[in-house]
Amino acid sequence: MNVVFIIRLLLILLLAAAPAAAEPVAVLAPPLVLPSAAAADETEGRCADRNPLRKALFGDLHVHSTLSLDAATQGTRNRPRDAYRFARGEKLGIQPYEGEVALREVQLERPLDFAAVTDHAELFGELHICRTPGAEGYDAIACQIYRRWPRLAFFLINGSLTDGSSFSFCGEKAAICLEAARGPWQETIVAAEEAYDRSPTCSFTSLIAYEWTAAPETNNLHRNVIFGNAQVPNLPISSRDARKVSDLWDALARECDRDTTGCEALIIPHNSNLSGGVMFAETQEDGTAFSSAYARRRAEMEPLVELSQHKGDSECRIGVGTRDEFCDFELLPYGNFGGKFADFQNVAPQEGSFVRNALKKGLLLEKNLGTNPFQMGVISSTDTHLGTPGAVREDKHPGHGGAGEPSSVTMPRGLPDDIDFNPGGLAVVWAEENSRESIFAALRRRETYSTTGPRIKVRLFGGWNYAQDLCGQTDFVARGYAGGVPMGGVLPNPTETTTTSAPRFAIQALRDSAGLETPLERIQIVKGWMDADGELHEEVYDVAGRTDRQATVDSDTCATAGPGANQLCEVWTDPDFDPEQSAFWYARVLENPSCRWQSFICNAAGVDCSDPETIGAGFAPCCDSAFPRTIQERAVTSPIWFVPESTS
Amino acid sequence: MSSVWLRCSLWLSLLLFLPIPFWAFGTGWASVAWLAEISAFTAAVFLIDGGMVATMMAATLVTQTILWAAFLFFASARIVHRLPPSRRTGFVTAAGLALLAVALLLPIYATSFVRDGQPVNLIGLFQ
Repeated sequence: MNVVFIIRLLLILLLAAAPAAAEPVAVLAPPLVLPSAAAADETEGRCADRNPLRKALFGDLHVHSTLSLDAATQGTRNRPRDAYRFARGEKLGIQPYEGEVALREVQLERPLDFAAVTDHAELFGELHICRTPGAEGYDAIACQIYRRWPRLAFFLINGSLTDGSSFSFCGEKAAICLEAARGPWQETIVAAEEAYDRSPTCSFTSLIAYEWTAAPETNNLHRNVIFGNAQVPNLPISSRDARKVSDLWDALARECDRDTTGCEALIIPHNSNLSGGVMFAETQEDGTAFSSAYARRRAEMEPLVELSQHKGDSECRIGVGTRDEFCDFELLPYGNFGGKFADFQNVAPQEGSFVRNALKKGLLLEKNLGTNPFQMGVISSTDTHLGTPGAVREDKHPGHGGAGEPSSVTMPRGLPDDIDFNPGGLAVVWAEENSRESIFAALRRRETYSTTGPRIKVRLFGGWNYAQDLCGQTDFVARGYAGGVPMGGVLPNPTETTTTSAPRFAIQALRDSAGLETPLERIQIVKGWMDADGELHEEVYDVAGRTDRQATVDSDTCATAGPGANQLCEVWTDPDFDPEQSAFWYARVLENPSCRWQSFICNAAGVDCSDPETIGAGFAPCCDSAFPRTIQERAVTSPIWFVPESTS
Repeated sequence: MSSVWLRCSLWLSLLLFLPIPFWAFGTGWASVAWLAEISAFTAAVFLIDGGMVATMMAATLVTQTILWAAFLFFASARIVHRLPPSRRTGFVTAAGLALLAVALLLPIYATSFVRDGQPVNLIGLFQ
């Protein structure tokens, strides 16, 4: 072995010293032919159960398959087609594998209504080359590392995204890799087209999408690009092509122009909690102050933000712009990607990392610029890297891979995921029907909300004339729409017909209808506003339900007890409203306490933290007191904004 | 056998079989030979393709490889030097065989880059 090793070492060093080769472009993956249905008429209104008052559709807009390098290096074999099958309710095998047989199986209790596979666009071509024997570049050192030490490739190849460097085997201007990227991108498109139910049943909607994956200095600026229909660019615009966010906006505006091609897209940033404060910085990317044009473009291109997912929650953080006790939820002990793996790269949590701070800051920017660049609605998703959209149950968490625990070739020892991560959440839209047009329109107008897993149904309307007894009326929803704006909307200024001096908010929350989850504890309204001096404030109001914390959960058995509600409803008037102040309000619905995912696994394994002998290999995190054994699952709505006439 | 040969033989045994701790986005235990192998590949990526992370990883891995190799070199020399000349050959042979046996029979290496971080023996490490 010594001789073999020394020869190998010498060969490697020789290879390392060899100049990079620049070869002509090789066509590796001819474009696939889209199913004929793609050309079908997609007019809204074809669904048999269309509801003009809209219905809650639950989905996942952040899903990775084996086409993402980080997923592939963790043994994920599920392709986009498999991810959509899973979303529609089919059973799916996940790693590790013995030969071709998956050693674990997962299945959703309830199918999703919609999903989007959002693989990392940046390394589509590189990965395809490294996995295709005979492809030009297949024998490159980086590809050899990918095949021999996937986990090393996870850092090394993925790491190239932090500075946008390209691999020499990609050739001049990365032409070889760009050409190779066509195959995975076509596969993404075809899988979405096949999964989309175009029948009047409208059982499932798939959206063509990808992830733009820039992380300068390991500060996460990742964004998912969601397309409204099958008219999409020939290649996804990755962070290799568009280094800055504003470059992405420009490129999308150029290559996805609704007027000329019918293409429609919107962008959803995520994991601002890992952005080192850069995601919602108070300056443009070049360090200059926000311009009106920049603010307008941001507001137009990025109407939503992903609030919660596998890698933590981004709503708010105690001590970073808030004292809200319920912000203590799925927080990460580091402020950027680098901090996860190396202390010296870590940064402290920043105000610009959290959505609520951005919502507040947006009020000030709107006053100065005339546009609120942070007028964002919210969703959540999983960010699964196993191809398992919607796998959000705390009691059945298989891990989601990604930056978490790899189980590529062996069954997980102990916990199947890193203790700091979680099963993620769901995106919910209020749409007339389950079609691309209807869902995309809901995303565009921000009539969306986030749940951390449970399928809680939440309505939020804001208006001036709602009757105080609206909750008792059978046509609550119709009156809600007729008398005001739903979540995501902008409250009009009061008029002569306004009957109240302050806006009223009608909020209705229904517990997960399948009875799988715990009852509701309370509804809160979170308000942010700007005073006459430009100072930003926030207040959290308990508006319905119980605040006595009588409901409990035993973390050793996960048994829940105490009172809770199946339904909560309230018409709430803002007691502190000032018509001269810009403001936003959003609803947060809290469930009673329940077990966090690790509790189910630790309990099943018989872990008793007071007895070290019961703590088997891989179970030590069960006893890490930095991570709570219980949580309060929640739904958070998109805000409703108010801009005084004087400002607007 | 000359003391130089004995010193080199012991050094080689330690390089190939002795599990040493290292850090690369997490801690692990592997032999210096294995560390040298991934260092070489990583350094090759750095030299061919550049990039911040490749630079950082190559520097980290190569530095650790060199330091461990140097440390084991001096340790080997010291051990051989301290042994009575009559026992040197026997000791070095026995130590080499013992290390080889342990490395082949016991899962004494563990690194997240191999089999999800599960403990493995020498064959598993290089597979």
